[in-house]
Amino acid sequence: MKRNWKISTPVKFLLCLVVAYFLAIPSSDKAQAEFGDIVINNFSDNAGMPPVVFPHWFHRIRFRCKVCHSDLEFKFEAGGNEITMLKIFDGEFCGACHNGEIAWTVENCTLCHTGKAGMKTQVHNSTMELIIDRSKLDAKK
Amino acid sequence: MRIFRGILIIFVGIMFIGSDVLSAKKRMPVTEISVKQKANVVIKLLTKSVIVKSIKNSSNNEAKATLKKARSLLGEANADLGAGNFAKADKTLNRSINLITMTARQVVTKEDRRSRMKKRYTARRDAVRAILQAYDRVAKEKGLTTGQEIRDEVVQNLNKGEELFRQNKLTEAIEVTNGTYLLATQITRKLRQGDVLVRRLSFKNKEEEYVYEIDRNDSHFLFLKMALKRKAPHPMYLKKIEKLRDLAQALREDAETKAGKNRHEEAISVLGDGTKHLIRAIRMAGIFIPG
Amino acid sequence: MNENPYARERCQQGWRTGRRLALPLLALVISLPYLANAFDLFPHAVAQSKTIKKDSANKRRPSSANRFNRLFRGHANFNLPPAKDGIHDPIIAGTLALQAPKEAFAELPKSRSGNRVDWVKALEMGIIEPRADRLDAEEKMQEFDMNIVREVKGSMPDVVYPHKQHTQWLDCRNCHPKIFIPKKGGNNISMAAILMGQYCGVCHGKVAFPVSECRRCHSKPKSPKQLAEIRKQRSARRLSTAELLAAPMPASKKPTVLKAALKAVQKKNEPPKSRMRQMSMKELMAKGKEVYDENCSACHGEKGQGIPKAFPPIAGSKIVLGPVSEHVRIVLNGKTDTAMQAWKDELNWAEIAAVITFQRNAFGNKKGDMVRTAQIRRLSR
Repeated sequence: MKRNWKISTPVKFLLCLVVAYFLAIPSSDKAQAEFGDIVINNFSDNAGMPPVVFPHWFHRIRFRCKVCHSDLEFKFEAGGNEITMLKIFDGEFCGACHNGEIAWTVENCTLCHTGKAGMKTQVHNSTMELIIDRSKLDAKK
Repeated sequence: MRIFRGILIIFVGIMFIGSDVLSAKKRMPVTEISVKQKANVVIKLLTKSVIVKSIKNSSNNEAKATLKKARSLLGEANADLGAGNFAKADKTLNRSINLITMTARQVVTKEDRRSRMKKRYTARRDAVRAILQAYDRVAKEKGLTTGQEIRDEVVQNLNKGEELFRQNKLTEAIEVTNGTYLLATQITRKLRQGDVLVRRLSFKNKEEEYVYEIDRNDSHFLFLKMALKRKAPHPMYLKKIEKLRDLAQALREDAETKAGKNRHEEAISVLGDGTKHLIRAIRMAGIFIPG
Repeated sequence: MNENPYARERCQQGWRTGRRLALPLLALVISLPYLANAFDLFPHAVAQSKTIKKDSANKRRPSSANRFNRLFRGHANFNLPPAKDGIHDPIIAGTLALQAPKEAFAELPKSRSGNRVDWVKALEMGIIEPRADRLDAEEKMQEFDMNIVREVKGSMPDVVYPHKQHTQWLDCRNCHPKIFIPKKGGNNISMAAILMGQYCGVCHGKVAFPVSECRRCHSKPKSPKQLAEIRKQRSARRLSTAELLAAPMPASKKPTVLKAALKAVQKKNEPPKSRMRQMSMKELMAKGKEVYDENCSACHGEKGQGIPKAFPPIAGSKIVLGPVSEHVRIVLNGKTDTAMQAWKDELNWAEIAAVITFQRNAFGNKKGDMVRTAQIRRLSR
């Protein structure tokens, strides 16, 4: 018996979708971190922890600048707030929201401590990074 | 065919229903690797962190006991990990972290809390003072005669807050100052709403204009630095840009010596030339800025 | 054609098979993302670097010479997912659990710098609803509408600082008095200070849009009267870029030596004073060359050769060799979305007429046109 190998139109369409899905693979180029990400490495190195990466964009969608920088007393300075886990557990700084009520709890250590080991405290991709010669600054220290 | 279709539909159904479970993988995953990493992190929390130092330095025996318990829980979790039971290990680790969280609150010293409250209070008080100053000045400019009572209330509350601060009643002081701040900002906003202030470029003397020109020159040097980093121009153009930059640098030093001799007007015109060279260099690098 | 008695049935069978297969196949396609998540199948899932590295180790990648649009970094470089962005450690489990920015930014209005998101617009359109208070979702921000205009030197448009957009996000206390003294004339702001992270630079360039978007702040163009005054104050004779670069640079970089070299070049190249009314072709070309070297050569090249892939050449340009009116319009009004600036506020009509005449008759262009001031005046209306 001869089989009917005709492919019907809906099937063809679906096959096209599947092929297209595979073809939609984006190319990657030189990495560039998200603007406004802050690497905080005041005490992490001493404790042997990876530094913290704070994403401004994620918080900006949910809160106005005033909430953290006025009500929660965060200074406009990367590393200038001297945040320690002690203060966070006490409900200061990050701990004011990351207590299970407004956002997730501090049990998720590796959701914050995601930086590459040894990175200096900086506002990543900021204009100052372009202008200031980091190597000279570090040599001075 | 029917069986095949049936299996596929059931499979997809499970995918959809189970999608919550699968998307939980997008949140913190509870896999062997993630729990191992967490265990590594918790070790550091229980040995090297600031909390441990504070617990050791404090005289709170309860806190020290809790730290011991947390460490033993960590030991348990490691054993579970070794046995391959990482879901249980994760829960044990969470319990350990929770214990430390509770200890931390006991260990935070009164001095720490007080200094934090002091900073909060002084920040708010300074803000109110500055805004009140601005309000008074603008009210005078506009010849405002009404609304004096609210202004007086603000001053009164400010003094009240200061009094509470001196008596070390920090929480009340902060509360009062918060209210004062809201009031002060309200009246200033009302006064200035819709205004347009124009700061004209006028200089009292040549010295001020010289300072402005120096800043402008500095700015253009920085712009050139940024432009070169961002645009990476062709080496042929880079040579020309560097030549212009050296010239600008020379003119800048010349202007600075002139200013040192109090010949500000000449210094300003020399600086102006230097900035023009920099603007040309920036344009050559590929960014257009007006002159 | 012989009609096959079974053909119709076969055709119908085919349709039936197709319809039966359609639903399962559709289900399969829809479930593919979930499968990908569950089994980490596809190469463009996050953190599949190992598999990619294996393949690419054997393949020869085309060199960067092949890359299109070399100067434009392209969307592949921005808003990268955390595992690929260069600062997050992809080995840590948490990095993979974090949301990729592109996902969140999909619905937000775009912008050209920073996060590539126009946050102010997103807020005004109601696409995002950030809280004004940590606990109370209903609390409103106290908006304040007051604009401050700061005049700047030169033909750069004046700065307009709008309190409204800032108070939609910030409290008075955030800036006053720690960053800005709330007094007119109380703050000595300069671009250098901003770039170094003071005043506006506390946020702009770090979290808010960077300083590369000049026009968002420098939004009030100078009035024609002000521009006329600026032109008057310009020094009578300036050295053109070409002359400066052609001058031999002394080996010593001492300021006195360099300045002397400059002066020598200035003296040598002093041209005769040209009349502005009814200039002859010779005068138009001389004046035009001066204006060209001064303003156009930086981008379009000293010999009108342009810079490949960045600035188009003048020599042989279609616009320059085309109708005068189009050429004049582009010089007067600039070209949107390019670096070509409008020159109507920078040069007077006589200078524009001269430079256009020069461009049409130099660098191998031989149009023979003589463009008059009156023509420019007419076309600028």
